[in-house]
Amino acid sequence: MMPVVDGIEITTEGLTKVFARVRAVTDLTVRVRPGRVTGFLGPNGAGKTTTLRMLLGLVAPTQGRALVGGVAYADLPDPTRTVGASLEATSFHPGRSGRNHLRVVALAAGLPEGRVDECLELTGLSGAAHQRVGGYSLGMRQRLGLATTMLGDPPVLILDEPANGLDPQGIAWLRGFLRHLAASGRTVLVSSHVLAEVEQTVDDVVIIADGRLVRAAPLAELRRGAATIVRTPTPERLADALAGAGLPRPTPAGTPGAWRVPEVLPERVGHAAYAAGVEVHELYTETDDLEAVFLSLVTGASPPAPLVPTDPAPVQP
Amino acid sequence: MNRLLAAELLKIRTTRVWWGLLLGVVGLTAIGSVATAATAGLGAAGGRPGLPAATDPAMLRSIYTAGFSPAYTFVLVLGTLIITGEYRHQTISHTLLVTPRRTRVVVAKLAAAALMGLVYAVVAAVVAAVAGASTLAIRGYPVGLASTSVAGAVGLTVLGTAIWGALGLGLGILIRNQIAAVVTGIVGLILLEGLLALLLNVVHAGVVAKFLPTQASSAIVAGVSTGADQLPWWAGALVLLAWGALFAAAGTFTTLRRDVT
Ligand SMILES: Nc1ncnc2c1ncn2[C@@H]1O[C@H](COP(=O)(O)OP(=O)(O)O)[C@@H](O)[C@H]1O
Ligand SMILES: [Mg+2]
Repeated sequence: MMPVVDGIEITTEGLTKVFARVRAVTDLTVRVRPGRVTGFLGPNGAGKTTTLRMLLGLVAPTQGRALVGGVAYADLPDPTRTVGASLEATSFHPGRSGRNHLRVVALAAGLPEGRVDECLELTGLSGAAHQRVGGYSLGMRQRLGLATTMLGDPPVLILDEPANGLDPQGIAWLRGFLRHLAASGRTVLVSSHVLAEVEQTVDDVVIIADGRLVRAAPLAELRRGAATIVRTPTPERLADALAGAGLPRPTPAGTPGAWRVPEVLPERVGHAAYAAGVEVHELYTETDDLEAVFLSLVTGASPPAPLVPTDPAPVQP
Repeated sequence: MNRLLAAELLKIRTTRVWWGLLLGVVGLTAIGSVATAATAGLGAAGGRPGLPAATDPAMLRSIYTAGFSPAYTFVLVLGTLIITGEYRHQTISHTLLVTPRRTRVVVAKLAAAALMGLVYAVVAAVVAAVAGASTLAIRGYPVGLASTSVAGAVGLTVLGTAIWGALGLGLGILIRNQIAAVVTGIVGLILLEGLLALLLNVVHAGVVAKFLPTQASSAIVAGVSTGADQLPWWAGALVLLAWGALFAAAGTFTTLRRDVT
């Protein structure tokens, strides 16, 4: 699909937030590009929500800046038509219907009332439009959150844990929805604490742990961080060929005949085997271990350090 | 700005609490004006004077403004709910995402609360007129609704109630916790304040007592005629407005500046 919107970048520069006693985000500098889905990943408490809230002008940074298209959210001339955001721990009045919630937002933002029904339709909520939100399931609330973000048809989407509470069918639907938005040139930033949830959706990842940037890269690059799997009937000859090419030793990869080479680039493994005339039945990048890569990236970091060591652990609000 | 006010009013209309509170106003007003009209002139015994007669202008005013204190009490509650409900139900993020300039949100909410005060006061005035007039008619007294002193007093209750709505909103921003704000509003501003005023009068500091919100609002109604140690009606209105502005400003500089997490 051809891009239909002008791309807008999301940037943070040295973004830092210190709550009373907790360092939630530390010196975070990232760039989120348009036309792609970017996964904002990290374990619970890593600082994702805090970062997104700073981006949206809801939390004031202690240091640094968070900008949308080079402008602070609060200074955007028309925020609802520029950024669509759905945040964790944001809710709806249980006594108001989903449709009325959208009408309120549309009215305050000066959007045509027709958008309300369009967005309900878009998120598959038309049937429950007049029902009170108090009776919605978590998945329906997520959809209502998405419908809210789409009201202004914005070029930038910021979604905090949007897959939470969705069933597998809902996650598949969300994937198609986000891919479609990115394909039209929009900037889509989605947070999650479960890589697997967004693995098939995102193009880029920004991984944080303890409020610090751990890795920002295209997902494909992260995958390569794993290994190459080779299936061969002659593992000894493969080991010799790899040793000859200066590559690491293969180890059994679980399935019979398959060997795991801790080498990022499959082309190097393939070339070494080819050059030595080793029979190879299969050669691929180990991808199913992405979760392990993610875990290894985010662990090793200690829990958020209290600024005052003697104080008890802060209570999450 | 109009758009924000319209959105705030739509928020109020799309939940049920305003309706329940209005029913409370209607009920209490009807009881109040019927009771006042039914007992007017009674209680005189053995040369001891009873209640003023039903034809006394002051008595007529209290019959037809019987809805004032229910209306302002309930709109005070509504005003606090308009803002504390946003924190309780975590809808404040939606509101601030649409309107990142927070003072604009406060101004729109103040206006919405004041408008709701207007609505409550007008409904209360109609209820008091119907209930009071029929009670007087049944007792065979002239209805007395046409008197300018009554019309003036009723008009001022409308103004006063609108201000109480804004006052409730200011209190709600300042306190933010829904239950705490409502309790502070009712117990603190309305009940304890009466006690405080009494105490101040005992220690001959009635000058100070006049400036308390509840005293200022009785000045608004009573001010049409006499008024022992009360402010003139317009000063009462101004004092009440000042209280509302004080709370709203204090709330804006504290709660609304805080991080929304
Ligand atoms: N309002 C707050 N006051 C104090 N600490 C907070 C507040 N909000 C978040 N935190 C802390 O900041 C850290 C990051 O939280 P959060 O941004 O919610 O992480 P994530 O969204 O990645 O799970 C956590 O340690 C959390 O307890
Ligand atoms: Mg979070």
